[in-house]
Amino acid sequence: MSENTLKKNDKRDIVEKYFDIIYKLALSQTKSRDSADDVVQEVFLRFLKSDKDFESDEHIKAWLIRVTVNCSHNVFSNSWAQKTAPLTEDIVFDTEEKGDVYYAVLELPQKYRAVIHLFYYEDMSIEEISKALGSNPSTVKSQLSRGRKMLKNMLEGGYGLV
Amino acid sequence: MFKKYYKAANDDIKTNRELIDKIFETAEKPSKTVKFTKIYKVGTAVAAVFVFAAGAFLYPQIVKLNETPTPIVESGQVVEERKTDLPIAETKEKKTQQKTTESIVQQENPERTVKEAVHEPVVGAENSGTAVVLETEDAQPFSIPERPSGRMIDAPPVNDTSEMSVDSFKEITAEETEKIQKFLKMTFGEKNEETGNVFIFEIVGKAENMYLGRWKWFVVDHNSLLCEFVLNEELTQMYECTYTENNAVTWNTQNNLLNN
Repeated sequence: MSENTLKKNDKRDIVEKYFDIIYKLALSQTKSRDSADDVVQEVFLRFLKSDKDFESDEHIKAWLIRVTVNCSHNVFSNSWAQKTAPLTEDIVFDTEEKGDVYYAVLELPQKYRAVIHLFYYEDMSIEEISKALGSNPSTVKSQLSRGRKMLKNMLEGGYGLV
Repeated sequence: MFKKYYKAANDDIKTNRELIDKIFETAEKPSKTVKFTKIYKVGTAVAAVFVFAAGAFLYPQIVKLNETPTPIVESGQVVEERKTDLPIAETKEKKTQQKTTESIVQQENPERTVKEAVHEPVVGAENSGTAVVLETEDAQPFSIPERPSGRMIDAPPVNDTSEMSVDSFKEITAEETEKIQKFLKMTFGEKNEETGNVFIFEIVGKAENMYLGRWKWFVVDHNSLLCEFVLNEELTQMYECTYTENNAVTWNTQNNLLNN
């Protein structure tokens, strides 16, 4: 990792390793498989073309997460996306509980979704999330707290331990 | 419980792994941006060369335009400059003099102070090589009557200065021009007696009740400006004038060139 440029095989390993993480984060951000595909492509193309000197695997992961969140914001900022409603109906789960919980998270504002997803699905600490998103830890903590509160209201107290 | 269900829900979402190959294919394709980058560089260089060449080509013309007073250029009345059939005066072969006012004064009349010297009239010439000579009692190389103080050296008193707008500038007829030129040649002569340089009186037009003109002489192979002047309709008052930036002409009424 200390070398300036990663070899092609190393890059492929990294893409395969973080592909699922990035795709699911992008999906939670964009609420659309098509948009998530676009974001994932954009993120990994930037990674492959980047000459950035990554210090560690964690550094790569944090960089990918930050670029994913930024690219997802860009999806919603372009004028075409603002005039079209994302399709969320194509994600089907085998149990009602999974669907309830997943769609409740998608109902949250975008900035809370990223924090909730990284905290509950990626098991990242507040410190790690703040580093990945480039935010203040107190901001992340606050967003996590508000997200939880909103989820509790949406799920009407069900699925405890939120 | 929430965490468990949320993780399970995300685990159920299947990702499209074929996208990975597509990403690598896209990454390996030569980027069009690179090609455009080269074009931009070449284009910028070509544009820079073009701008530089255009600037070099136009600079002398811009300088020339800036040196010519606007109303005269626009009037298109610079008739005499186009004349090619003017007789070329014989000029005596002598070294061109280029003396400063101060040095001439000191040489010819050492008793005079520098302060007095700067109030002497100075005849400016447009082209290098034309003599800039101070008139004294002993030497009168140029027979134009004494003129007001040099415009760059000593401004005339405010009370003796007249100003006229040239907004109402209009052209005059050829007959009128010819009549005025004939009058001026009768008054000042056809040529300078000392140098033999032929006088040229350009009448560029009329504003209010004054004619606007230029007094030149012909030196070897080109016209040289002696002064710009205003002349009243009655042909009784003629003054050296100066064009100002606000489209006006000013002159000192104390020195009527026709009285000298």
